[in-house]
Amino acid sequence: MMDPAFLRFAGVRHGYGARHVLEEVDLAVAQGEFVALLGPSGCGKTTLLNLTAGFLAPSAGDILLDGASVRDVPSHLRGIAMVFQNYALFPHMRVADNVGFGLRMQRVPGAERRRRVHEALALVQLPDAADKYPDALSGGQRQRVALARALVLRPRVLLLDEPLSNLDPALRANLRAELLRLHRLTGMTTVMVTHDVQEAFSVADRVAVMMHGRVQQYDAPARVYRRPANTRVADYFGLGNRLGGVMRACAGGHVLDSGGLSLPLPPDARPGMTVAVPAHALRLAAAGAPQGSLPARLTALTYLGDSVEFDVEVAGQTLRGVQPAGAWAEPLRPGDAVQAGWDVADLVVFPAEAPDATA
Amino acid sequence: MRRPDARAGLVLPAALFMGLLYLLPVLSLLWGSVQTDAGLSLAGYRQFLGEDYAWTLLARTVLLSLAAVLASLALAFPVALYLRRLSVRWRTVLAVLLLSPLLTSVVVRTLAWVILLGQQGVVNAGLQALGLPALALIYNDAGVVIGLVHVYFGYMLLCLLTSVLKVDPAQWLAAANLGAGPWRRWWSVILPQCWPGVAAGAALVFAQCASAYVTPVLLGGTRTKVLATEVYDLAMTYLDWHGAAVAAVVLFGATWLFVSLMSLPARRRARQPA
Repeated sequence: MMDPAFLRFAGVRHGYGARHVLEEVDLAVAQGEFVALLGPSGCGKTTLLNLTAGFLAPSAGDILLDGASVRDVPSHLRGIAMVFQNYALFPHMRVADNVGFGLRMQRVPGAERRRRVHEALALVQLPDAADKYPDALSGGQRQRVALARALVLRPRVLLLDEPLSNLDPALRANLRAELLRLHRLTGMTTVMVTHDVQEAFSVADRVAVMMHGRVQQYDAPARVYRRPANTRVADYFGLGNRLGGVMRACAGGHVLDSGGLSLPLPPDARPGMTVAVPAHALRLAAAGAPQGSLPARLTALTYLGDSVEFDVEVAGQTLRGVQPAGAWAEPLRPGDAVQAGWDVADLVVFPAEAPDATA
Repeated sequence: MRRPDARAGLVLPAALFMGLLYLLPVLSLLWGSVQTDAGLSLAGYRQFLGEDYAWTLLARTVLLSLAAVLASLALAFPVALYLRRLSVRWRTVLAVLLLSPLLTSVVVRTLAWVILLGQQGVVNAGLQALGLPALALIYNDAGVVIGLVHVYFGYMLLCLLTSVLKVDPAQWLAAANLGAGPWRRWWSVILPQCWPGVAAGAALVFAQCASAYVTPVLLGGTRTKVLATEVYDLAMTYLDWHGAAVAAVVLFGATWLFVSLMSLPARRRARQPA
């Protein structure tokens, strides 16, 4: 039985006087779910994590774990373990003592403690690191030790604060896979804070997009990306290619009259909504090629090795696109007449204004 | 290209200054302590250390200094932990205030303590007003320790603060999340990481206290003699320069020994396999 509201935030606010870091957060995390709190710095996501861990107290509202309020429960009795952004390993203790610290605080006897530390290190695939000091480990290894130190306590919820941000890109993919593997293995309810859209989308079952102290949208990654709740969320996902024009009803849906063209729209487009072309959905071909659907003019082209970034003027506006680099891009020069196009299904539509827009 | 020889020139003025005005006098002191009419001899040391009085002085010097080290450590650690949580601005203001005794003349400062701690002083007047018995706070060991801690507390605080500020604030939260109470956090997580600061502070405070002269004289009265006052008496009152040199070297040796002991943990840590 999965509890759909295993961890629940009910009207959680945090802040002093008129300035609130968190305005009013309502969220429910299901048992075993991996949820990402995604947003720019200052959006309140880390505050929400610190409230959950018990490092801060909400100024209003409540946090419930398995139906019981943890408002007045000290951090270590909540069964909520935190992995810090910089890992916060104790530099004067060996890895085994770091991982065993929580068990020692719980007065778990020596033999069992050693066994569980060993298990935890095996779980994060660092069985031989027990006698090393954190200084002697790489960033990725430290991250694994930090995970082991949290998991060894068998918490009910695991909190991850920007777990991949201190790692170089190659390691990041590695540890992302590791986080997923651990999550599948342990089934641990996990809440991760991140500012990285890809990181959130790649690991989380659901993403809570936070801005200005509020949850703007809470849904599965694909749904959040394909149907952003508002302009702010769309902007954060880099959906900046807006199609201007007038939306008009026609047989079977709506079209957008833009720059003298009638552009078909996805079936869920409604008048007043904003339409964006994701950069990767914008395709380009030399003029006359059959694939292109709209006449366009190339205004900029940047070769990035495995991909090409380009600006085109189409239907009276400039759109930016990214495509895998191929032979097709070779002969093109800024100023060339080209054909631009996209699949209607790839268009993203969303309400123009954030519902809670504050001046 | 770096030319170390060219850079070495940068330390030349300081090296000359220290060499001429510090190292030479120390060497001449050492020389004076072993030079007798009958040539080089350790007779001075044999004679000095052969007397119980010398050992009493040495023990008192070391114990008073240790007491001052422990007292300033006990006072400065909580203050450092408090300052850690303040903004840089307030931290600086408070730290300067706490260091202000260092900026005051030793004589003025010490005489102020005489007024405060004396038999008819402010503290005892207060105690008596509350119906409590007066305490002997001056012209004894307690007076000396109070006077020493007052000044050298600042050194301890500076050293501890530097160490405490180096500890990542997330470590406190991590330890709390893992179930360590406030005392446990301090003892198991913070203190071990602050050892370099504790050792540096202890070494500085000990060295200053062991060689303090004015404070023991003014607050210790005639009964509380220490090695530094003995050196002065031998040289200035008895004009026994040889004996003064011997006593000074003993004091120097005791201080050096303590400072070396204090630097042991730091060295062991540095040798740890990486």
